[in-house]
Amino acid sequence: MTDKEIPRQAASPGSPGAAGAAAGAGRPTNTSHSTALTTDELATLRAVVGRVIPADDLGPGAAEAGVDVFIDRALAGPNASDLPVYQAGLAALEKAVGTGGFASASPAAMDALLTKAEAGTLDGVPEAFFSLLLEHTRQGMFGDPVYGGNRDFVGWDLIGYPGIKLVWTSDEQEINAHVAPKHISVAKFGGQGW
Amino acid sequence: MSAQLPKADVVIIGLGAAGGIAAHVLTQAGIDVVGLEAGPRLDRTDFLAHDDEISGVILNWTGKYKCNKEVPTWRPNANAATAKPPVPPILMGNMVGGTSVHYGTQSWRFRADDFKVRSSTVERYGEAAIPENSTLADWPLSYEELEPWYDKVEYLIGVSGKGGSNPFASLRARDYPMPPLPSFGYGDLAQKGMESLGYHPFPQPAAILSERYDDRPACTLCGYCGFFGCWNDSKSSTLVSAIRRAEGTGKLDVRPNCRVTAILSNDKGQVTGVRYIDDQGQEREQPAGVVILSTYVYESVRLLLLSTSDHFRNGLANNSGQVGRNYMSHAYVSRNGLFPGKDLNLYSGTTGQAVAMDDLNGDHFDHTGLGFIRGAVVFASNGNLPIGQSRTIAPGVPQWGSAYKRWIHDNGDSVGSVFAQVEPLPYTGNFLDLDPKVKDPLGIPVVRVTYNFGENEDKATTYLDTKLAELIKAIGATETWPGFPARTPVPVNSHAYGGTRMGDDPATSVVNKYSLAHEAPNLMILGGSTFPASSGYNPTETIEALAWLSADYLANHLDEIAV
Repeated sequence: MTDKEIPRQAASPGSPGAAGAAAGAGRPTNTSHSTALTTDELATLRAVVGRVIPADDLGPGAAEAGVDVFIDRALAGPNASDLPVYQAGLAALEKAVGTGGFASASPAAMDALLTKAEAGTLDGVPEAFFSLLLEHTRQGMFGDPVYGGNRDFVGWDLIGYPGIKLVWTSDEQEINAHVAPKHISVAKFGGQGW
Repeated sequence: MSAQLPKADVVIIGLGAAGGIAAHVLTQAGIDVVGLEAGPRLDRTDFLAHDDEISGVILNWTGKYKCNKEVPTWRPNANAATAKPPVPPILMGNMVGGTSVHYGTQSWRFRADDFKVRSSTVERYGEAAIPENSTLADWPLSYEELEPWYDKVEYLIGVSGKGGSNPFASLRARDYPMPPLPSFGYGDLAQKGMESLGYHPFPQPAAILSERYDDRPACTLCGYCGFFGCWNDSKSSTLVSAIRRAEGTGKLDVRPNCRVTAILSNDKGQVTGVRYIDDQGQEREQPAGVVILSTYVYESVRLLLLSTSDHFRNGLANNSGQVGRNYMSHAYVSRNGLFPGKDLNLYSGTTGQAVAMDDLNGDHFDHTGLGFIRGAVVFASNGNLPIGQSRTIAPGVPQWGSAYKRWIHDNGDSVGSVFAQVEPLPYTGNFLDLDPKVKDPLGIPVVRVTYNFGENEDKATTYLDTKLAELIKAIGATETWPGFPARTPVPVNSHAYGGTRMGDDPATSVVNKYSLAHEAPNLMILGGSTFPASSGYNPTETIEALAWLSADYLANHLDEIAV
């Protein structure tokens, strides 16, 4: 295969893709505003996802990756029907933790409540809540940064995914071949996220 | 009153795998064709802008124009209420080129035995081997009749593979037009594992270019393939092959974003055209001498059932009551295996880039005493993506917290899998009809799927799970666990079959061997809905070969068939 068979720049000049590439591909520019959840709910959610995939010696976790932003946007978009489940689940966690609020609780206290939520033994937590939370946290952590999560590609680095790489060689498909992280988001190619 | 357009020789409803091939064959014969496609016309820049797992796999973005909004409902049997299916729907795509744009490119021929599935089973195991309530039937045509059309499809669209590498495959007149996609590290391991158990692995044939072909570049193994359109035009969809050529003749009028709502017929039972909503929301009537219905299984059955008339009170071509009957959906079994300390580098390539084996498919092994008939194609493929891998964790590993994070960090690219695609049998109790309550955004009833496994499918999937567990250990996994979806029916599937069965007897089938409706002889129905049996193989190349055979017959008999 020759180089000329691969588009060097797929997005045409003036398209959102070209603009996105010029501005720094894949960096979410909008990381804080709430679109489905209230500011308080979002703060709780941020603390929750920060325990589902915590920051630790392996690096940033889901909170640092912006997974709360990802879920909030999903709930304002294609996952709108899940919004009541999140609202009830987050409210139940806040109620259980009492004064001070969930986000200010100790990691051990947060984990204890989430363990109860997972087991279905925490009052007021809808049955669907924890499995949705797990799935959406993974989508946000390991999905393309253009959707608001996986900020600075921390999720892809964690799981060993190099980023969008339009050309792989056979050698790179060998076992234990080293494939350097590319840190390329679909934003570079015109992807617009939600 | 809808606006009536000038009459066309042939109108095709749905320009996917089947409709695209038919358009090519007819226009090459000089016939004027109108192609109505519910989805938009997209190209490789659109596909590149959606090369991410959320768009492709989670949201199925190419289904947003139609099929995502009209997902069939499901119930396990005719006495049960509709319920949440055991496995989420696996959906199609809507655009010029249809699901051939987003499929995983596996491109199989069925085997000679698949076309004689009932008689060959009875011959070897006796009548009692076929479950009492199964409507399993032979096809009205043979592999030998279809072989030349498989060949034409492979050379038109561009299929890569190695003729003779599968010892179970039926005879082919010549080799594939190009070699298989390159081998890959995990595939090499899988091949050795299969061989160590006495199986006969080979590179899976795939409708994707391993070298430059027909002015399209070779696959670059980017990893965004199944559920994605190809940014490089290397995937051999009908969009970049058959439809491109058909439009080049000047004989194909492609009308994207045009949604057919009824097929019109007269009091003699002949079809006269279609009614559709155009891209401006205007209702129109397109008269035609022949109508080709080449939408997906669900829409084909739905449009027939909705197109009632004095002559067809139960739906077009359905005075027999056969429309919707004999519904099947591929079943799946998979096994994950842990390969500690190995980076398998599976985040690339395509599910079409695979090592496959046919030893456990069809009747390639003795079923005596097993309690089931038929089997599955088994394969180990490339093309993992990170969200999918983040869910693929070994039993006992916590689902969240630092321990989960550590495990994913250490093993995210150290999990390999093997898959079995299991042939289901047709049963009297499995069928499609219109949901009495649920409607799509246009107010049209969606399809209701009544579907469940029989004992045959329970036993086959259990047997294959045991075999896959043994296989992945032979490949080198230190630990193995069932993958998803595990041994449950997949009621709504992009691998669905039946509903307008092909056969010689109008009392038990809807179309004849040329895909023409018994009751409406100028109506052709193309697609997996005509399959009397599914085989374990992926359907697309057989859909395309049947479309070619049928369209060729139509082109040669247009004067007799057209009204």
